[in-house]
Amino acid sequence: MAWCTARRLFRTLTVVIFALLALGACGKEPSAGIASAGQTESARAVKNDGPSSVDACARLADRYRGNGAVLSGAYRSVVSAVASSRIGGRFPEAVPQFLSARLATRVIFVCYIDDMDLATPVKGDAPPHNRAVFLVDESGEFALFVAGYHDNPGRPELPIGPIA
Amino acid sequence: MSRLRRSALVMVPIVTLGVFVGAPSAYARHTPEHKYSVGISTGAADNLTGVKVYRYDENISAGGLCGDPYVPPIMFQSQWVPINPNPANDWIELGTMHKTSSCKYWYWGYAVNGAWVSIGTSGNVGNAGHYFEIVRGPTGNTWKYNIDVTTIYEAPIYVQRLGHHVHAGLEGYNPAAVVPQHFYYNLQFNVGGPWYYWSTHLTDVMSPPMCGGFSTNTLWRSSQNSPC
Repeated sequence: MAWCTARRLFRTLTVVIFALLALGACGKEPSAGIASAGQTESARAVKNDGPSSVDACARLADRYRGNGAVLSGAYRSVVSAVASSRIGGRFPEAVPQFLSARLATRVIFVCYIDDMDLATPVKGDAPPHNRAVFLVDESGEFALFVAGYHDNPGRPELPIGPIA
Repeated sequence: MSRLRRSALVMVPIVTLGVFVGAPSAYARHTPEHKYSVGISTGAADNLTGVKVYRYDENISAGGLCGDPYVPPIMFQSQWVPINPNPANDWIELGTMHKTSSCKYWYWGYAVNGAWVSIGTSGNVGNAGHYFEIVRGPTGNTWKYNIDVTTIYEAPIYVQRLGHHVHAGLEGYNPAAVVPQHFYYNLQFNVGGPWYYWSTHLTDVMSPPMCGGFSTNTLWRSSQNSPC
């Protein structure tokens, strides 16, 4: 009798402990500035301005996961702001057609993808680019915007940050 | 895979790489090796305002799948004008990006300090011959990307720099691909308006397994893993 009571108590305690652990896990929210995108990128910090940006960009990174893509930055902006940006030293007067085909107020997500295989033009003995900035609209259409470098000695760093 | 928007008009650019439909990309991971087979004119160096080539959009299989421009494996029939004494830093480029033998895109853009800025891509490219032309606009503040008689884009690039050299040929990110010998005809450069045929001051850059050479001063040939 005492043995049965002890087993029942043990089972109850086990259930309670697992329930508490599960509740603790569910209660965690990504911080405002850092989140992990995608289940397999848990170790990688993604600079971002909110979950909607991370969600939109993580879908793109997932698409290219087989090509080594790692999401490093995710930001929400609008067409006019992206078009006027000087990211990568670009000339804002030369507006990419992905942007010129959309209304100035339309939301655009700016996604920084690192280390994916890229076949962008490079010249001389320059190594392949290892940081790509993609633009994604709210319908999921996307296009490459700029390709450059990160953590590559002798090559200018393409910085990650919001385009406001 | 990538669902690309198609246009009935060939010259209307298709600028979207894809949308999130279907399975993720099925390309196998590999580190792309970048190879060249390029003819260069150094005539009128530092004063160049354009390059013009007549060539076919060949049916070249880069060994991958259709869709996802700029994702290897890719082969390029390209031409470009470096506008910096360091040719790896700043240049203007126009060309054809090959994915499969029947899937190719025109692409155009420029580079700043080694970073590539994509302006646009266009699908629906067939196996036909065209004049491909990069030329500085009359005000000096723009570069035009022309295919035949159509300006597909005029890029305001406000640097008062002229071209140091002009380049044309094959470039690629799959050394295993077989690219049959093909030609780049009527090679010309521009100096302040008039066009001149390439004549002297010619050089080349080739990295095996690519091969190439000048058949005449105005005719370049390229191939890879094929007779030279």
